Amino acid sequence: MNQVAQMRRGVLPYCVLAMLRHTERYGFELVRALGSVDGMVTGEGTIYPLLARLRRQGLVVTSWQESASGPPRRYYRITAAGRAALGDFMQAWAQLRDSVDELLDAEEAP
Amino acid sequence: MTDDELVAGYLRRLKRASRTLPRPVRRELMQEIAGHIAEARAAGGEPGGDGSAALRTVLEQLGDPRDIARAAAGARAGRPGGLEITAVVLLLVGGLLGLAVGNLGFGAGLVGAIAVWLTGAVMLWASPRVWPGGLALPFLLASQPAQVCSSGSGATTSCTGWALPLWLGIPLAVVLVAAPLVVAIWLVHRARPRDQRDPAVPELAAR
Repeated sequence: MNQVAQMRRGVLPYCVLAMLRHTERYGFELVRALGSVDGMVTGEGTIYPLLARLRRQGLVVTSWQESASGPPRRYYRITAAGRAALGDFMQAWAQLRDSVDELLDAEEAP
Repeated sequence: MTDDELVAGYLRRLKRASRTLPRPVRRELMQEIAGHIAEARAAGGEPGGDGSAALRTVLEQLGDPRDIARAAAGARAGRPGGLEITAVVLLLVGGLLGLAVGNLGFGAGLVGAIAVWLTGAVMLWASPRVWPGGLALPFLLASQPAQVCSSGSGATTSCTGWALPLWLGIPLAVVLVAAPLVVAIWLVHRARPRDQRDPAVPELAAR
């Protein structure tokens, strides 16, 4: 398993939560949006099990809503626990990113 | 091959790959993927013509059905629950207790130890985790501590151990003591979070 793919996998749940921060979205919409971010997702299909798990963990809730153009859609909405998890991650991520950047920049200097 | 056949083939492969998942999990996965394909086709415009190429792209972007099923299996398996750990401890301790108590000659204690061991076996049975090789494997392995128990009780009543020549008895005793230990270690090893061995979807910090 390559390192970059593993890192990507580690942050993916939080990217999903971040996308739900301001609005609820249905599965296809979420998956397509994530898939269009460069190098974020290799197989779009693997996002659905992730969504199911976020729901089991109580970080998102789902509801069925009618669609004008076809069968009903399952919408995902972030919960208070999901927001808290996202908040913690954003803080940790900012710190980690700065620390790593600092080390990488230091290594570049002669 | 028509577009519908292409989709049906893809969903069939996903269904086959996900057969080890619990039924509700599998049903939801099938539903979501089928919904995704339907949405993509509806968004993709007119069927026929360039449609087949577009559909192939949709399926390619979804990825190999086996990868999706693997991600679902990985997402389901979290940390080993208290149930699994307790079951393994009982399997281990029950067997060893049986050996010790049997040598002391407390018949009632032996029965108790076997009861402890059986509890462990039943808990393992009840565990929702799917052990590789199904339930037959832990039960096959679980029969080992039972042999320790019976050999322990045998030693007190008629000193069966002495009836064996030493060159056979000593390795046998070593095996009988080591087997439950090895089985317990192996079970705990198997119970490690799946994501570490087969990274699928990372475990999110439980809140």
